[in-house]
Amino acid sequence: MTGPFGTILVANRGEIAVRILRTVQGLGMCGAVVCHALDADSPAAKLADIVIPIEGAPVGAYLDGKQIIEKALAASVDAIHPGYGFLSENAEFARQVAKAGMTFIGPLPETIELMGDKIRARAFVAERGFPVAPSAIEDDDPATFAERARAVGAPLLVKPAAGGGGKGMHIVRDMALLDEAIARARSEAERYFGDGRLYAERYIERPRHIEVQVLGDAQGDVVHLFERECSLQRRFQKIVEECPSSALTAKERERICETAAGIAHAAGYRNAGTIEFIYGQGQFYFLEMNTRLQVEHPVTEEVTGIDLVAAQIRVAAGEPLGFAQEDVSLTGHAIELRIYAEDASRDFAPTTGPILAYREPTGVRVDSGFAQGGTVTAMFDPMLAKLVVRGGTRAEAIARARQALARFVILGCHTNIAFLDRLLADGDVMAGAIHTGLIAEKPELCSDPPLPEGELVSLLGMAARSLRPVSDAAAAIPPLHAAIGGWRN
Amino acid sequence: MRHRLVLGEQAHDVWLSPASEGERLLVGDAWHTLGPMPADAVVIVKGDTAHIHLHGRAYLVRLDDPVDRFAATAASGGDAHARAPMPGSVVSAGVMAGDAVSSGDAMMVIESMKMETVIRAPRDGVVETVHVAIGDSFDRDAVLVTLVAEED
Repeated sequence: MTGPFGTILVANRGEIAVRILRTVQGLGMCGAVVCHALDADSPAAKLADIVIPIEGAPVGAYLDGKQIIEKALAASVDAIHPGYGFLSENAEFARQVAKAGMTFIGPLPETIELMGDKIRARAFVAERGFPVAPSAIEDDDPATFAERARAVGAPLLVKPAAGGGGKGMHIVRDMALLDEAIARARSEAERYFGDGRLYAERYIERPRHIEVQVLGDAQGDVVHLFERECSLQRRFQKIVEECPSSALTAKERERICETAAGIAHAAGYRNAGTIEFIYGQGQFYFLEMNTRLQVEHPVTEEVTGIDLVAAQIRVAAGEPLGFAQEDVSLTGHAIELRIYAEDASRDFAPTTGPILAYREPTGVRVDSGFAQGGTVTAMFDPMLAKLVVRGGTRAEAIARARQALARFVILGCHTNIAFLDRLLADGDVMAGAIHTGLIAEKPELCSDPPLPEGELVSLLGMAARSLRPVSDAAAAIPPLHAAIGGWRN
Repeated sequence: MRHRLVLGEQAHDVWLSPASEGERLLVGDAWHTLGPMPADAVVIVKGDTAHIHLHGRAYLVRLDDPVDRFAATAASGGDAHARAPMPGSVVSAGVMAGDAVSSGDAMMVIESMKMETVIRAPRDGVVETVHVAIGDSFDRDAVLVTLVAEED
């Protein structure tokens, strides 16, 4: 089996660079990766056939499209896969890659621009008769924005027009606080996106986040690959994703998936993409479309058996999808857990540190970009790995996930592994009664539970035996004195 | 010899001692016979800290050096530090060396991932040093601003 390109450059880092390189190499192509000096020893750099060093500030280097294109040309790269984040939704980068004679593995620049502007995307979707939530768009008439936002009513979500990833989002429950929320959101929007325009929409209380994976080719064919439910979030960011969603009836699943495929088709979408919906009380509304591979794409791969990166590469090369909607089926239940370097008991603040020990559980899929000896810094996103499990049923998948979490060893940097285990053990989570505010409503999940009975002595014993000053002192005691000590019992 | 081990917020005075078979550990007032290490446990020592994975959870156990303990109490003179509650970078700084601040005054805004946090003065005083500039990144517990007591 050979792929359509000679060399594919991954313009990314971490776990997603490793994930993409695996498929590129599996298809018999040459896999290159860009690499900042900080990542020189990363698994992605070790796996790649070609490593292209990039310079500058760490994050800035991965965002430096000009430098990456120049170096890609020098290395005779045929196509660039942007992964997620960084340059993945940068229309100008996509345009420049094509202009330089290479293939951008993603949608057309115009599609990125359309869907990257939430206001235009929303209008595009609404005009074609697909469901959107009641809202007020600042651009329609900036002078009356606050007034129109107030008219939509509480609870209201105020967010940046150019936003993503939960940045700059504010929920307003008391309209007296609307002006303040607008000011805060605008300041954050300007800082994060360089664009202070806002919009406000009806906030669905206890909503579920359900998104649909789509794939489109240059021939105009679009299929959906079912939904992913990503309702378990902290600070507006997903940490657990699963397929199928326990919220949807078969009929609702069909409706939401067909709506998503319809939107992608209307946009002439080519590439893998995700249509996000907000779901509550049997209604669903279009939220946004992500024109890239998602962090949580493995969930879909596990239940459909389709390699999304391979599909992206083929359609970018102009090949047809090669399968139709009726060829896509959903088997079993898959769950992805995002392993983060963060402290749940400190409001999920990111943590840093050296990875002193790193052992992945066996028999499950782990997508990871870290290895023992690496260091978690504040420079990059604190996601360390993704644990992906599959079971015949949701309950079986949860049980497997918990077993795998217990066997996942990461020492040296505090992680959310124990928190994820408590989350999966929660009664509402087990029952599938989840929503995007569930974690915020259960602060008791965030604090470390008391030490299990009998563990204290084990822990202190292991520490005492391994810390030199303590073990050396013990070794220096003559056995007779030690025996006398025993009488104190 | 007794040593102080710190697990979470709790300090424990322990005494490790050889026994006729294996070792025993005094914790508080009770001696415990230590069995073999559990098969799934992992222990890594880095400096004065043992990083332990036991039954699916990760723990830190730190050896509290009595000399350090004394130094920490003795050195708490007139200075106060505003430390970083989490790793991040500086968004804006509202104070300069020489500025007088009151307890609770906003001194700096930091950003960590997508959250902004205001760093406030831990007490009244005069800013002696601002240790970081806009755009600088830092780790958790890094000293951001040092205050000295105001001269009367």
